[in-house]
Amino acid sequence: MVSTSEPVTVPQPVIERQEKSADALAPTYYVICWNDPVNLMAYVTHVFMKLFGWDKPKAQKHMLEVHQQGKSILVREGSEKAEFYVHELQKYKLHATMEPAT
Amino acid sequence: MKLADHSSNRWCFQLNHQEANLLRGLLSKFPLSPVAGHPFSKSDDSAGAADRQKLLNESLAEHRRDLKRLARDLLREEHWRPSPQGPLLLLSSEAREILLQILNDIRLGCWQALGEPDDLEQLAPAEPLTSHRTLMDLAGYFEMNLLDPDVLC
Repeated sequence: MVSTSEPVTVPQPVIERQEKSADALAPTYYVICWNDPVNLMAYVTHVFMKLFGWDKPKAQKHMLEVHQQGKSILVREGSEKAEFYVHELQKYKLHATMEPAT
Repeated sequence: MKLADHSSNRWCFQLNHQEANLLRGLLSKFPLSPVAGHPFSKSDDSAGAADRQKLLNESLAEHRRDLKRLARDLLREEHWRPSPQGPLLLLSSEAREILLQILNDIRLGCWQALGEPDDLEQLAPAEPLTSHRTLMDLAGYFEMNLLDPDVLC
């Protein structure tokens, strides 16, 4: 065992106060796609890949959530971007909405 | 209908004469669904909600006007080329995307005209070529053939 006669000084932890930017405090929204019986599964997968740039497995995972669970949360975004995605998804005739993220 | 050739921004589909006539007929029927889409939110009742809905409706209406123009454009000869096996449909990637949206609008519009049934298999068998059920199935047939084969696997 190593012994020492010098006192050991333990540094005090420094607590930093983190300031959140205005962007971080801005409300965010979930972009949700809801199930319907008419849009083809392959079409929905295609739209997700096209719009979000997802690979096929990720797009299919969300498509299957829509199909099996009735809805899928696609992304969480600020209002402007969420609105953009809802517009684009509805242009493809998918049932998409944006809901405040709580 | 089948994919005959594809490069980065060019899609070429081989159709027989009957398919080409049916596809042209479908294009001439666009649009079939109502212009209004779904509400932009199920729960947002904030002060800006009405403005957001108005903006969405305007955006969808403008998109509808663009698609109408493009549907007419897809009927023009420059997109079609004769071949010994039947007509070839030549599309850029953008035009293919537009055609998919047009066909899906027709499919959705027919479904709405049929009363928005939950179970499509319970629908009465397809009858004349003009019935909504037949048009819906036809639009779906062309959609499936337009989609990238990779998505279908």
